[in-house]
Amino acid sequence: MPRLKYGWTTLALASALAVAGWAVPAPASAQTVKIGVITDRTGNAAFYAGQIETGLNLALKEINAAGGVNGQKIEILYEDDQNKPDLSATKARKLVGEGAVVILSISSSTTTQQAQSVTLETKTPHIAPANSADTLTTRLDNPYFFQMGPLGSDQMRTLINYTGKRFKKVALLSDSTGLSTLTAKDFKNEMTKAGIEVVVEQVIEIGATDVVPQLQRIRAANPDAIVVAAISIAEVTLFFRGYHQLGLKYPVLASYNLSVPAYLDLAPNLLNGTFFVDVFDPDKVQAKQFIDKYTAEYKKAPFGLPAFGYDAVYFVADAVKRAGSSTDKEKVRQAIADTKNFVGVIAAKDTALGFPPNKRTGYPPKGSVIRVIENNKHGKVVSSGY
Amino acid sequence: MTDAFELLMSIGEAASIYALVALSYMLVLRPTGIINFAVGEWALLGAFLSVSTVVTLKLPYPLAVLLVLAGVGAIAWLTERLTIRPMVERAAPLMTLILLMLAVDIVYREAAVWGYGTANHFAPMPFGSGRVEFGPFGGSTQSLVVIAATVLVFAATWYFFERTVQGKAFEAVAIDRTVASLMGINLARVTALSFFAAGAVAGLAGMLQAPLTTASYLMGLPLTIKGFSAMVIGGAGRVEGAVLGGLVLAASERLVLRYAPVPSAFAIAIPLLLLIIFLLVRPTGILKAKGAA
Repeated sequence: MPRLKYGWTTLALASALAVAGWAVPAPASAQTVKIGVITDRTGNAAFYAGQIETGLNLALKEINAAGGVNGQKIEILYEDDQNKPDLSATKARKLVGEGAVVILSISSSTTTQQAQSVTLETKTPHIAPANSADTLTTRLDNPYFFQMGPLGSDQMRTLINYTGKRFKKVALLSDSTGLSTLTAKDFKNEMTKAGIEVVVEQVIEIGATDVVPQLQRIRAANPDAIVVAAISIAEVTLFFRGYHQLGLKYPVLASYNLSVPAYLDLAPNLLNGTFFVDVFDPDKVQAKQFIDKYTAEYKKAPFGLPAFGYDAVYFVADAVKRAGSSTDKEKVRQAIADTKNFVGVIAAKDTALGFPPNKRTGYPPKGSVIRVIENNKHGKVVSSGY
Repeated sequence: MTDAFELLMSIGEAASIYALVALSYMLVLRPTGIINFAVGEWALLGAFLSVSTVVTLKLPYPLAVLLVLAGVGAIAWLTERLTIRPMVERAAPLMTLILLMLAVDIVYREAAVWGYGTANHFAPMPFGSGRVEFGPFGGSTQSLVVIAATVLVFAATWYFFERTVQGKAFEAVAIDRTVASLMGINLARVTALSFFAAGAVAGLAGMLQAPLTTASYLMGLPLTIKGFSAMVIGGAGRVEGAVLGGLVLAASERLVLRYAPVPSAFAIAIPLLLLIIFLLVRPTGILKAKGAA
């Protein structure tokens, strides 16, 4: 009975503390390495963030099963920012308060940008595993922020280099979203510089029911190939339907957007022969091992997005191990900044992630690859880097 | 010439979907005066229900069509019973009812996200996804399905309004609610039926579009805008106005996209441009209501 009494007293005290606004520390969590993750579970980046989470969770399970880092288990604290920038900053503050030694932002680039205001102020190491916006490390001089994902400009160069080797005049197709419009503008500028002529530009309106008139204009201009900068899933699907409906034969080259396997289900067999930019080479040793482990865990094959999450946890574990501390954020920051030659699942064969002096973008510039879709599957790598 | 015939199919297909959504607007607007901006979301629910019945449950297509018509019709009818009718009984002004449907619209969309998630869903074409040639016309099998289904719906609508007593009751309520009610027409029943029919028609539009664009929680709003534009252009007072408005809208969009020397992004503005012009110059639309001054 006395034990029970004691238990009730503790509970009452804990409740009183909680009501008074103090956090009640759970005894076990003092010995874990806490990684805070700002994800999107309800906004329009939810699909992408959800894929990255599967990779995070797999790596977490593996590392903890192998004994953790420096004898401590890793713990992931998730917060949903609904892909809203203001909320992302609030969530970052919450995670810092909960003792996260590193924060991973897997929501969209705009929210990652906003969360940086908090990580800079609280001196918390902050990593974007998959964001590709070029400006994330340049808009704010935040020494605590690091970008692991490939820069949009490097991916574009990879695609344009491959296109330019084979084609001289192309059609450029985008959709009416802001991101696609910007992407198409960048594509056009870079292609013009590379000596590729854009003979016709067409836009698919969000919500369109077909793209027949646009494809007819492309056919009338008779390009060597079609470069797809459209990113909205319904509209890209619509393009592939129209392409087959009109019996077009032009080679199709597409952005990283096409690495999302959902397209293979939404437009079955219509994507065969399409070239797309990816971060994932299924013939790389690390990627092969990842495919096996992921398939065993989730009963489906992975692609680039889960791999970003998987690599991120191993990357953080490596830094924490070298820092020798799971609480000293300054040491962890220094360990991240000192990372050289980290070989993970993502990036082309014979390339490695690492941060050159005074740079906080770690993805190898030539680490993107061009793959081709064969038999309704993401097929082999046909070109690497630029 | 190939281009012209392909374009005709494309125009026919889009005009059909616009016309169905415009008809859905009209079925609620005429007897009740409510401009129901939730039609796009009814279409979205139809698209998702078709994914559930055709893909998940693997039901035969005709049965799936019936379930979508009944399902979205029932949702619309329930919405009327649970939200519109209590407000009408409390003598709420018309604007309140329009705003109420806008709120319900958000509930529909969030419910769809809750049930189906934010990913796009594949809906197969009932007759395969290949190209069909029909004399000189070339298009997808789905283009023909969309056009044929729309012709059937409008034929049935014409029959209902012109040849049945219920249809005449509808017309009477549309012309004057008070007088119609004095003549012994049950207003509540007409309103309930109009919501059911409008839901069924919009749901069908969504089901027909899903194989073309995939089913997604974002597909409602563009249809809300296009259908409204088609109704205003054609004339809200007559069923034929929906078809005519759909055709004018689809043709102008596609002809500009194909032949006008302007960037294709410009075509996005066409429905809104036509909407403004018609509201300013000819607010009754091309076809005036029968018996209107």
